[in-house]
Amino acid sequence: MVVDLSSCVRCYACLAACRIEHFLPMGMSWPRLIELETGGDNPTVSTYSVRCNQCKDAPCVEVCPTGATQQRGDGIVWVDQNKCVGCRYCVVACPYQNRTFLSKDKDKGFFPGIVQTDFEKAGKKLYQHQIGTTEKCNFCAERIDVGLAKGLKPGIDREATPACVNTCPAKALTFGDLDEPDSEVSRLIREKGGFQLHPEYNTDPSIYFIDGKIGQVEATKIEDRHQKEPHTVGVGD
Amino acid sequence: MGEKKIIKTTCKSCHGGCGALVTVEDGVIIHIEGNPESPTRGTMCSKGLSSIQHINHPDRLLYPLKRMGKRGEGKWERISWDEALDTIEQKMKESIAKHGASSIAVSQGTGRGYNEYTHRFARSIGTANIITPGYICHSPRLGLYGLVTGYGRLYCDYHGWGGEFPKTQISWAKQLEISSADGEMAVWFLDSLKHVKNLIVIDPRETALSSRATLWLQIRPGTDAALALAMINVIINEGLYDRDFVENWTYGFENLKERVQEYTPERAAEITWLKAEDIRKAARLFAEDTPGCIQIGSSLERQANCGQTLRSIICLLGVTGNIERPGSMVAWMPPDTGLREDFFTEIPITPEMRKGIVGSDEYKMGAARTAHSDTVIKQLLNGNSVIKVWFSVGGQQILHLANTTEVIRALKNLEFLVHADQFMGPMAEIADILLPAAHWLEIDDIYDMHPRFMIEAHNRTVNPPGEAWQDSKIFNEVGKRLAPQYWFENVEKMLDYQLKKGNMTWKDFSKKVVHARMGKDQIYYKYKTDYWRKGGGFPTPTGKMELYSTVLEDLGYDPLPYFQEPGESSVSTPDLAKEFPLVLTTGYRQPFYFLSQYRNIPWLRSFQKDPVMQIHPDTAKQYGIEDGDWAWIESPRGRIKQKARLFPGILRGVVMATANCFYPEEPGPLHGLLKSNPNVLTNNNHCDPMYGSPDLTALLCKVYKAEDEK
Amino acid sequence: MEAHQWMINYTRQTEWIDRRGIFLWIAFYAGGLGGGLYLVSLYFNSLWGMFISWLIIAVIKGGTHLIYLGKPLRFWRIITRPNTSWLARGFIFVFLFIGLVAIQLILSYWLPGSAAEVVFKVLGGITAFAVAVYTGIILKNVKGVPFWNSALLPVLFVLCGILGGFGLSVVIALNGGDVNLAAAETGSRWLLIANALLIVVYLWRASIRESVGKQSVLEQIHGQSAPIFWTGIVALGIVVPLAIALGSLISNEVPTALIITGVICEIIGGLALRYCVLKAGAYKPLVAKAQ
Ligand SMILES: Nc1nc2c(c(=O)[nH]1)N[C@H]1C(S)=C(S)[C@@H](COP(=O)(O)OP(=O)(O)OC[C@H]3O[C@@H](n4cnc5c(=O)[nH]c(N)nc54)[C@H](O)[C@@H]3O)O[C@H]1N2
Ligand SMILES: Nc1nc2c(c(=O)[nH]1)N[C@H]1C(S)=C(S)[C@@H](COP(=O)(O)OP(=O)(O)OC[C@H]3O[C@@H](n4cnc5c(=O)[nH]c(N)nc54)[C@H](O)[C@@H]3O)O[C@H]1N2
Ligand code: SF4
Ligand code: SF4
Ligand code: SF4
Ligand code: SF4
Ligand code: SF4
Ligand SMILES: [Mo]
Repeated sequence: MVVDLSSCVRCYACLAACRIEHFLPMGMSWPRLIELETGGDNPTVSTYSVRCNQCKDAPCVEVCPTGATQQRGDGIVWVDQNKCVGCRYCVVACPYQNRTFLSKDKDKGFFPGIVQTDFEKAGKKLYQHQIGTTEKCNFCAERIDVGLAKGLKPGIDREATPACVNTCPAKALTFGDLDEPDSEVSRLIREKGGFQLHPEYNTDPSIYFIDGKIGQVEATKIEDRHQKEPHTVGVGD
Repeated sequence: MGEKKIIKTTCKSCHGGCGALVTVEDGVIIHIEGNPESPTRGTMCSKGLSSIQHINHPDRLLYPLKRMGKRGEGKWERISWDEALDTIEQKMKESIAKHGASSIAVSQGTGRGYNEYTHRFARSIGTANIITPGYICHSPRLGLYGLVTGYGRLYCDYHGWGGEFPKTQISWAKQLEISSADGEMAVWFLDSLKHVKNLIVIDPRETALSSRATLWLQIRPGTDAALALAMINVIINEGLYDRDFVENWTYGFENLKERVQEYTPERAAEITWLKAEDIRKAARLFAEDTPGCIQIGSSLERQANCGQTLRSIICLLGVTGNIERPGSMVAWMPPDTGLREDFFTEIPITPEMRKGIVGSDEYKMGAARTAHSDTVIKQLLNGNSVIKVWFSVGGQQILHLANTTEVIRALKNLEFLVHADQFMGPMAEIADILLPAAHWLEIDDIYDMHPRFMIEAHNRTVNPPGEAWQDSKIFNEVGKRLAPQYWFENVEKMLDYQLKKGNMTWKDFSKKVVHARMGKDQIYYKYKTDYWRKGGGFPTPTGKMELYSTVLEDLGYDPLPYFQEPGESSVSTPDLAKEFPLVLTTGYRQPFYFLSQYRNIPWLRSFQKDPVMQIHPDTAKQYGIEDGDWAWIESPRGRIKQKARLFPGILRGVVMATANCFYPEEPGPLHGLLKSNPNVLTNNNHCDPMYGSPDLTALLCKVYKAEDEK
Repeated sequence: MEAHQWMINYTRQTEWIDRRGIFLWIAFYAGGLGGGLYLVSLYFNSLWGMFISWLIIAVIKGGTHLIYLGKPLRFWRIITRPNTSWLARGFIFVFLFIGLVAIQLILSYWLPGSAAEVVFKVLGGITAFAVAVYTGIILKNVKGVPFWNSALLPVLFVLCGILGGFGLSVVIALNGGDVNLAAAETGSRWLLIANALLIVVYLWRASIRESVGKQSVLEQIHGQSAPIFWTGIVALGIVVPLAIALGSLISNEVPTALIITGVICEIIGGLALRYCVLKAGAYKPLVAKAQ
């Protein structure tokens, strides 16, 4: 995944999309927004939409004593909730703080003590969140798998693309295959100088960030779409 | 496992417009996401997506209620819809018989897709006393654009349909990136930024765009007219204006030229706290790199000099020829179903109705089709109120109008107040009859909002809870009792009626979801065609775009734009400024709230618990305020507290307070309304001469730490 | 935490100390103390000491750690990944210790001096050391927390465990147990000094490693956990026991109660050390100003 810092408008849509996609309990958010501001005469704020980096060399996989946290062939790091004992070593060991331990008080329900909404009830059946285990962003692995099974391409077809990427109005998030040199993500990283967070940890994150300025495009004309003959309309005038 | 279906519909958790796909399994919504086939391309924001916590909310109003105890005491009794409607009918008929139809006010909050019903209902029963926040929100813009386009709509052409994207964009007092659907959808705008050469942001605060803009003008709130006029000054005096357009299509260029001479960049710099050089630079960028467009924000309309500010900006568009050109400002042609406004404009305002409009004698532009809210409030306070019965559908006038303390007192003097809402907010608490309203996921309706080149369908995905009704049904049923000739057997017939010009029934449209005139179906340069006027021209008395407005002249206003200091400022009220040294501005839309809404939606509340005021760290230090402190903000009208956010991105000496806030979780009737709502501070005595807009975004205040709380 | 604060500045880890994290803190210390005591008891050949250390590890260390787990009933899964995880290894050490030392105790009781007993004592000693050291390694392996990421930490934890072990031996000796009081006291003294030095070196190394490490150190000295650092580690853990120890050197006639107080102080000091180390573990900011 590539996150474009210059495009993100800190709208929080990615956070909401993830919550509804995964029926996330109230106290848990897999992605997060970080605002980094600089003062001075020209104050700026950069907003980082962060989530699990799906590190190629993932400390969380390494430290997990049960093998609950594991890495798939495509690089997605996921947690098998049936195996996790909730030791939280991975939570502490993830240098990017992308993991959340689901304790009872994080799953009190949307309206604790008043109602359990229909959506929550349905969620309990459709998506597992076991109290006492640790969770994190899984790059919407379920979505990707369903999409792949239909022969769709992650990052191009929505049904095989993470929910947060789909919903982002600013197109600040781009998804695709890092190993494929022609993919959009590879191109962005190459052309816009993509960087990883804390490369010195040697975790090799699969999320890259790019930063640039708005307004560097010269061509504002789209020639072929230009329409020469204005025609009048029937109604409304 | 039961039935699972995906329903295409349209979100309106804000002003609305995003296409949504809603998955329903066994009658329960299990998923919402954007519809990739809609014009908004499958994107949705946090508010729309969190609707799932809205429809299932335990505090939803489920049944019609009747007030039992004293007003605001919180004692209610469940009644039937029949009883509710009977009571409303009887009260309205009594009032019409006794005081005339103008004694009935019909109100709504900001546009939520049912505007057409509000207006049609009022007109159908013979009143034009419609109360909307339009005069502090979108109407001044529309009215003044109307002086150019006849019907009042000019939008930034972000679409490239004419073959060109805007090369220079000005985001003027606007956060379209998050206030999406206010004018245009954020997603179209954000897309156009991939093609823009210069982005100019005019805002006293850092916004998500300003950090990365070509030029960011950190202006003193309330002085935007001076900036616009100085930009025109530079453009004219440096000969950068669009000669062809000016010579052939505008009226009054010489007068404008003369007028702007007093607004040199140096003088404007003094007024606006900007650098003269930056003003020149902005003017040149906008005049040279065309086409360009200006996204106007409603902060400019929440000021008592809003009419002239907008006039100045429209003249700036005029001299640069940025009207009707691809990539500039365009009045979109509606789809063949016509404007949804036709649904109410087909019932004209009679001279008698017009005479009854509260405030029409004073605010000739604003109070021509709707009432002037602040005059309504003053009359209620003074005991000479024209309005006796108030039918309020959505909207929290109690907190969105200036000077909350007065508004609360005034509303208590009403004879009868009906309110339709989804929740028990402060406005609902003081009503006599409460009607439960449905959410967009629960209704069948036709939607159109600002851009007006399309209509979209809201398709019911689940049934409303309890006995909640959709607003259109409420209007139709009350309408049938009072003015049957204008209303319909049922909602579906009413929807069919609205679609008839497009040769569609509701059933057809409901499947289609979007009916739009986009791409090549739009035409540009309408003034060069017969569109507005045979032989070409603008639909104005002179047939030209009127830089010098003959319409305003006839109404007794200055035909040329000028700058006017805000009602309260270090310049206009220097003595007051000694006690209240800081500039107060309010507004500051949050991406996850919609005005006062959604503080009761847990997912959205989790993003920001308390209302936040932004203040520069240097200013805060002066007043002993630290990041995260609760701080008092005080004006001559009162004081409120918000959580201080020390933010290097805001102009020193300016305080930005989050507007429209109360605490749904706090006890009624006020729900903490007086604690943090900035309208406790605002002034309803000083209003724009044309529109009556009070100063909500440019005032004076002082701040200090609230010691009692952390 | 608000978006503009989280992971921009110094962000503390909380999972392993706040709320239920206190169980983990106790478990970590009990591991060190139990392991240390076993090693010391081997030295003194104190059956009592070995038995108590077995109790500490089996009951306190094992118990608190199990309580801490989110899914305690699945505890057995925790040993399935020893190839990569030090936590899995640690649990294996604990289980081995519990098993081996139980056998050793039985052997020592019924068949003292047998070859089998010696073998099990050696094995017990190795696992005891492993139990004492692994918690330090666990922390050392956390890349994002510079304050922990130091080879000195396991050493410190072991040393501190042995110190506690000597302390407990003193108590055993005072209660008429099978330990040589004078030797235990001498050991205690030396270890106290070594421990104090090591803490200073550790803090000094941490403070020069990264700015966050420095902040962790500052946090120790000035911040939230400063009271615990100064009273717990410095006063109770070092100064008081050292004073008592020196007193006993000089006067030879120190009341038992005072010596026991000293030992309690040492144990509190050890607990405080773990507490402060866990509490002040802070991540490097995720995004920093200079990119
Ligand atoms: N100081 C200051 N004051 C301001 C502003 C500012 O920036 N500063 N902004 C001004 C502006 S631009 C505006 S538009 C106004 C906005 O003011 P309002 O539109 O009054 O906004 P809300 O307070 O959100 O009130 C809306 C109410 O409508 C209800 N509602 C929502 N959807 C529906 C529906 O579909 N049907 C029905 N029946 N009810 C519904 C909600 O529950 C809520 O109670 O505030 C204005 N006031
Ligand atoms: N998410 C979300 N979307 C919304 C709303 C919401 O509450 N939440 N509200 C809806 C409504 S009703 C409306 S009217 C629109 C409003 O949408 P916007 O017009 O975008 O409103 P604001 O964010 O209040 O103000 C825009 C900017 O104006 C700046 N500003 C304030 N005073 C001045 C001034 O004097 N001069 C200049 N140049 N700038 C100034 C503020 O700093 C702010 O950044 O948004 C609509 N959309
Ligand atoms: S959805 Fe996109 S623009 Fe919005 S906060 Fe997330 S990354 Fe940023
Ligand atoms: S970001 Fe953290 S949780 Fe995600 S793979 Fe890397 S170490 Fe594991
Ligand atoms: S909490 Fe679960 S996933 Fe994390 S390390 Fe422990 S067992 Fe593995
Ligand atoms: S990729 Fe999927 S799981 Fe990860 S943050 Fe985005 S929506 Fe959530
Ligand atoms: S921008 Fe408005 S219409 Fe679109 S998803 Fe958000 S609330 Fe709904
Ligand atoms: Mo508005």
